[in-house]
Amino acid sequence: MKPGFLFFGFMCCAFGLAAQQISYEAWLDSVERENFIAREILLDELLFHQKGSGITPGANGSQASPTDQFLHGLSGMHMMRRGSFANEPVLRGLNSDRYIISVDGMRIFGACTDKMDPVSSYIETNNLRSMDVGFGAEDSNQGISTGGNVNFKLKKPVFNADQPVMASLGGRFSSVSGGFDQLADINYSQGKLAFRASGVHRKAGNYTDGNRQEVRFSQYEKVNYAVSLAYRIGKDQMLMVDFLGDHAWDVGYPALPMDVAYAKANVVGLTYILPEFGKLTNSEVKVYHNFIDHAMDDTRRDSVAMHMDMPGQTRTSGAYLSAQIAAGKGSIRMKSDVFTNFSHAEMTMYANEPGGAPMYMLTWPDVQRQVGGTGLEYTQEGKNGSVRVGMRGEYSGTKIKSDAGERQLSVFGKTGLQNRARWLGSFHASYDRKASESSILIFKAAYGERLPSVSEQFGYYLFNRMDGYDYLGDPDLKKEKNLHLEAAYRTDNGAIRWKGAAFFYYFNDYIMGRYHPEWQAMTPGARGIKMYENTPTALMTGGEMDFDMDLTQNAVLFVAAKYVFGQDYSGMPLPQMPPLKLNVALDMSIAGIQVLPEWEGATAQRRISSRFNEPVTPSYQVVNIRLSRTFRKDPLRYTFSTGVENVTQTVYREHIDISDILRPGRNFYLTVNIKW
Amino acid sequence: MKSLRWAYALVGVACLGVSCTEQEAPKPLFETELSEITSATDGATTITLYADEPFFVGFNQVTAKIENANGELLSGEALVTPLMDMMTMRHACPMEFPNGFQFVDGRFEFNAVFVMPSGDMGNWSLTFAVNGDTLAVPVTVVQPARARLASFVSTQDQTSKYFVALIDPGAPQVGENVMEIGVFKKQTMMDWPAVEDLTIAMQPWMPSMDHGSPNNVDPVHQAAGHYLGKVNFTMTGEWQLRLSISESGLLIGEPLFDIIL
Repeated sequence: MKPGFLFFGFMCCAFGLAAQQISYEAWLDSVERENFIAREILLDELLFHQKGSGITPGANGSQASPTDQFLHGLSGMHMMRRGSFANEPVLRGLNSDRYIISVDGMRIFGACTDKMDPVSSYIETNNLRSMDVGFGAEDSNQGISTGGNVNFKLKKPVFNADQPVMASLGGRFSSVSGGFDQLADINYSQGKLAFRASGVHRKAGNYTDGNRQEVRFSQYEKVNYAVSLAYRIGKDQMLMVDFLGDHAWDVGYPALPMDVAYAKANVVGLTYILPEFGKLTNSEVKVYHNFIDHAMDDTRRDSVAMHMDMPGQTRTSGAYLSAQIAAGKGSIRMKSDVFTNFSHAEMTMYANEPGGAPMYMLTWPDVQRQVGGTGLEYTQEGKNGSVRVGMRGEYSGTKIKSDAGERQLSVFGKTGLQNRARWLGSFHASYDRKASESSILIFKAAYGERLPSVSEQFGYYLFNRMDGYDYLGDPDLKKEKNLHLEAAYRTDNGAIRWKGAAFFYYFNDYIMGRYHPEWQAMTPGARGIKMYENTPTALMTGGEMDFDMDLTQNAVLFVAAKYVFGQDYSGMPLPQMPPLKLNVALDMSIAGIQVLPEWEGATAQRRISSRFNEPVTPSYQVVNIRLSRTFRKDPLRYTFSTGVENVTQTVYREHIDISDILRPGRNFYLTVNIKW
Repeated sequence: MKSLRWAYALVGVACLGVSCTEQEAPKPLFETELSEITSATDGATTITLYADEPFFVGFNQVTAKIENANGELLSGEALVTPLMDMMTMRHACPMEFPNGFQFVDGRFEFNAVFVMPSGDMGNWSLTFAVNGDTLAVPVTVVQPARARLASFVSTQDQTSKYFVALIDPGAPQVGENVMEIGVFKKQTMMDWPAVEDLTIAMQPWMPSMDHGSPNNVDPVHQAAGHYLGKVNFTMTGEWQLRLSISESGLLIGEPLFDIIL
């Protein structure tokens, strides 16, 4: 069976077919969208089956699928695994230090120095309405970065629907981990008031890999709850309060030397949607606050060189004003925003000898960063194409607020108490040109900058399991800059849709760790010390293609491909670059049952960074089969989905995964969803 | 606080006539900056000793207040001789007079490097010779919880005994610390000169984790047996300050200090 799939994969490749399980109409449609975002992926259930909706058929029919699984299939995105929980989204090979992640435009920062809690881990699919994904600096209104931006948009209460109360209940069972998830949501509206609440509970044990071996410390448990209240004022104003809470505990990270005792996020936002005022439309004001508390834990591990406590926390407050202004033949979208972020993390190590003094250090020495910026984006549509030009300026200040942290920095002759002020700027332009009635050519150029992340600037002896070094931040790091060029093509002739994009990134002052042989590692077993520094240049290139085609009235073929090539200043491969990955899916409707066989495969990655002690990752291919059926019995709608993931018990890992843990083996799952 | 203002004269060195009176701002009252340690009088002269803390085995900075019977602050010339009386034998210890032997307004400063604690073995006294009058002040020297003096016998000649006093950091902190040590040799029972020609390598070490710290500066000789360097501690916990001391290119000893912070 395997060679057949492989052949199929090669065929698709040979034909230069685009794409993946997901189609993403929204991506190149940006100018037509209400938000002018680079790419919005709608997660509305109604769109699940629609071609070009931007939804992976694999996530089909079930909001019970974890967010990670949904993100896994997105174009240009890979998920870096440290375990089965809280995988880190990677945008075109760039990790979360390099792109901006936000929720409803609210800036949020994970509180774990080891990146165990990417912001996506605090979002659940049943409170997620859509996502904006932008690459490079192509979106002026999310902030400035070199890698792009991901904005999770939460579900909002629905006003005056057909019925005043709408609700759904769901559950999911996974055999590979004995995992059981329950979820529910309710929407209520009356007159000017609308209310939505949702909740999820997920609990999973250790999963088994393709070798049928139990992967110890891969269990997790979490609850997530969201409440949203909207009140209409007059015809065109609205006040909204959103609260999102997430609490995970007993979370194992088999790829890392530590687990997590708890990870808690509380996010609250207050939004006021303003009426039209002269030429101003779509105006919105928001204030928000969020806090995240995270605690690593190694008390369950069999043998640790030394017991350590590593709690961390972030606090972020901010506000923004966004609006749209008609200007001549086009329109301008603008957003002004400010936020302040506080990050604290510490480590206490306990000597094995009784009575020994505990060893304490600040791994994030109370770093306070304040940022204010304004972005403008002008769009004009013509007969044969459209033009979009945007720019953003940001002013930021970063300092540490801890005297103990300042003393730690003195070891390296550095200082942090004094505020470091920086200006940042970004610029982008794109031109869409009609190539024919059904196809469009798109050219983009963008320049973006970013501040070093808190870990890159002030991290103190942070152990990186990937390459085995302790990492030190450098407070004097310069901004990283990225020049981004991209060409894309899209066609839709009714039966066949395909899209392709090729990008080129050229970085200056690319931030990367450099080994300092003169310093000794702190963490027991670490290979040495690396300090982040601005390397002269780095370049990345690659692309995404996706393709879908109606085979018959009841069958659609999806094919997707993504690839990233990266090279550092010395010509050596950048670490953790995803190799060519292909996804093929056939979405069929047979006697009212949706049947969806999927194939996923990646080539081997032999372009490895020896500086980062990367292993060669072999190629793999995985087959999933999914079935789904919906019954209606008014007023209820039942959806049952079942399937087998990794049918052939493939033993595999993706190249970007941390450490040598394997991905799950064969998994039978069953989900049930009842909608009222 | 323990700055390096060297104008040293050591015990036994005849520089009594050298005047080291620099024009300095008037010093504050004894009581406001230091604690009183002990006091003694012979009727004519009263001597009160002040220091940061009770005398300990190691490097002690001492300020003496010298008054006459009427409580008037004296000026003149003074010399202090330390003595450990162990009944069967007697010995002194290294002494330093950074400002010379002249004193004004009753204030006389010196440093004493006590090499053992008072106790059953014997007792310490400091004998003051002030303007012709001699007065012995008995003092108590305690062994600090954490040793601030290390000694070793040269591994080269197997006989010379060296004493290393950890002067700074007195209160070590995470981060960069000035490091100052004083090295003395026991020439005879009564002669404890400073050793000025050593090469010292230093490595702070965390034994429970088996690592050191980066960017340390080995102590280099400044004056009068005092060596100055920099030591970094990256975290709290139990550290060792490991020294490798060489004379004429040959390793003579590897004393260490335990440090808790």
